[in-house]
Amino acid sequence: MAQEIVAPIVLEEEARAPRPNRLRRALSLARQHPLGAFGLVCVLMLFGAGIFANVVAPYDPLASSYVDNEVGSLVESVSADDTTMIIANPETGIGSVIHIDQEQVRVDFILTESGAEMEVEVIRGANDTIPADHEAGAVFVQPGAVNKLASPSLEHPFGTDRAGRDVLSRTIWGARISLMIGLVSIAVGISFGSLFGIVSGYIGGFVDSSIQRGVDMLLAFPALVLLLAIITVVGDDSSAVRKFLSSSTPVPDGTFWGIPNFLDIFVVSLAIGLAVAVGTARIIRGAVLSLKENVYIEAARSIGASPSRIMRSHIMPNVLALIVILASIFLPVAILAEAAISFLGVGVPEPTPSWGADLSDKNREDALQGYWWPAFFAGFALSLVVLGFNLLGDAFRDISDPRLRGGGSGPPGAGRGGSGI
Amino acid sequence: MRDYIIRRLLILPLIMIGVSFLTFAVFRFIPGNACVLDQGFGATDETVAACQKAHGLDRAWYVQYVDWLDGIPQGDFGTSLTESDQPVKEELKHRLPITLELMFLTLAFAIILGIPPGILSAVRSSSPLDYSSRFMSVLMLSIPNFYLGILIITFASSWVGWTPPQFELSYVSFLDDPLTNLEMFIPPAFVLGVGIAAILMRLTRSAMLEVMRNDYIRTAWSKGLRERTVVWRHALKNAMIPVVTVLGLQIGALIGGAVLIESVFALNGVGKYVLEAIIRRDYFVVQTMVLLFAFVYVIANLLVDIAYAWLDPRIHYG
Repeated sequence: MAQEIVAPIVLEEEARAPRPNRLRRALSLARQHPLGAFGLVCVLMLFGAGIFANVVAPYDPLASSYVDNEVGSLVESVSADDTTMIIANPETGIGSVIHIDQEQVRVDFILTESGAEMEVEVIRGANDTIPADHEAGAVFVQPGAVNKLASPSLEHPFGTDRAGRDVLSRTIWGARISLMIGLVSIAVGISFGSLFGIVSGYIGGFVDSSIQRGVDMLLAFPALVLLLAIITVVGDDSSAVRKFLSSSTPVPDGTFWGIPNFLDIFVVSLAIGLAVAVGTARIIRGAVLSLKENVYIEAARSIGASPSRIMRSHIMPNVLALIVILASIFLPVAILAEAAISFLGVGVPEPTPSWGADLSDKNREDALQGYWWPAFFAGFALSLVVLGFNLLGDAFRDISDPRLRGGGSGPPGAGRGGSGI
Repeated sequence: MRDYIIRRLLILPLIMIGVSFLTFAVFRFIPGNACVLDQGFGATDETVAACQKAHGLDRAWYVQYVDWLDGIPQGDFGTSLTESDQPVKEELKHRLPITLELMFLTLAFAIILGIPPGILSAVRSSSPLDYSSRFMSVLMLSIPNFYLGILIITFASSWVGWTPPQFELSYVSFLDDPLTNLEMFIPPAFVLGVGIAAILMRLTRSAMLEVMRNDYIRTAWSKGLRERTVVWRHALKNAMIPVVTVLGLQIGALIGGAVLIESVFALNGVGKYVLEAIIRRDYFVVQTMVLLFAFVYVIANLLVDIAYAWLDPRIHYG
């Protein structure tokens, strides 16, 4: 794409070596708009993390990690045939099994107890392990405890959540969920919205006014309330849409592309798409209204082109640029919308890693207890992505209209994502 | 102007009937309502049927709809289908003041934090002040309000030991205890307000930049007027037109924001009410709330139109 656009305006000598030249141009653009470049990096990170989540994420986002908890230690060294030992372990009782190095011993009797230290009689080599000598200070472990709410460390850079799941992996997989929902809802919303917008604007008359009164009514709903209503209706277990999706379309019901409960995610995207379609229809209609006054449309009509042909071959290509712009504006809005409804508990269900869902109830309670990381990183990633889109959008506008450096001059209705929804 | 307002007000009932009918129809599409959902596993065909009958849900749909509409002029919006059986009107009496105060403070924050920095940013374009307020605004635009709310609650409780008072108390009116009341409402209003302030700031800045390039501003400068006069008397009013439009459009975002922020800050306002009602399909509550929102939306847009005529005397409504 870029090559076709760039080629005509580059001088001939430069055209012979386009690669470094284009790179240099990109670099100088990035230098002029450092924030825009940062935004681009954020957006690319969303796409990269989303597409390669299964490769990049260090752990399975759904699997709990386990850890061997240290529960005590040996006070004096023992040899392989000793049956009594002095241990420091406040939680040991008769019958409990202690794991020391490779050996397991079962506590048979507690001889004396003073403070945290106790002298116990043990059965060596429990569970078919081999009795061995142990140094004083050897540590007892409780193997396989869920490694829950571990604070950020080298092993888990973002820590773990209350189910022992790696927060970094969930954050990375969250990008895939966000991307998936964003793209599907944009595809659905923009295509339906454009269809209705073009038909409404071009046909006019009764068709136009009935579509537009419908849009009026839907716009009178606060966007989030509309979305909540759509999702309750469409997302219901017995809803016709859901039944249709699972029986008559190839949308998979189980895990798809590593995403569990894929159908639920798809339904959420459909709901967001419907909300996007409402706004799109209104904006596209406005553009079509002015487009259809052009002479070439009249010419097409006068040579007998049918309305559907005019809409397809003359109107459609001319609103394509606007459609692309709308898609790029609505993508972060859709991502935010998913996060908002998942946060409210009606969007993406547990245990799917979604940024919005990871900000909700349980992680929020944990955050109040001081375990801030599971909620913090989900929201941080979400904010970073939205920031990326906003900065990138600003930079594009600066480049195309240098008079308004950084100002907000878009059409008021098409305001940026932000805290809107 | 008066005729215009009257005409707009006459359309209002039409839009509201349309919106309420849409809600009514859509929610009856899906099987299950609060009668079933609220009783949970204890629901039997008889108890559900009794609940349906008690609320008149066993009648034909058009009878139900007309009956509900008929009650509205008397202030009867129906009752909740849940076991509480609370009339929607009673519930609103408790909840509306909470949301109204939240919205009032939010708008105050949005305007105070949005418009003056926007003006300054345009007048002192390319100054450090301009850059920093632009950066802050794009940052605030990008942080979702519910996340900002969670951050504030989390870090305020672990660093300063502050928790929102409503976590222990219920609503305290401003007249009874102004300090506790403000402590309850300032944090959520701030969180909700900064997002809108960011939008207003960007818009004010670009509108001011646009206006300041006009010939009449150059004339004002060349007359030797002071900067304050040029900015306040000549530029500001004209720059405010797009800002007011967007402020009107933000009403929807404000209600959506209230749904989110009330659940973050545990405020028992209208937003939480409608969220719970939608999830439980509490028909009459949802219908009433949607009607209320549509009303607010239409009135807000009417106010915006009236503000245009005040801001720019050239605008006439015939």
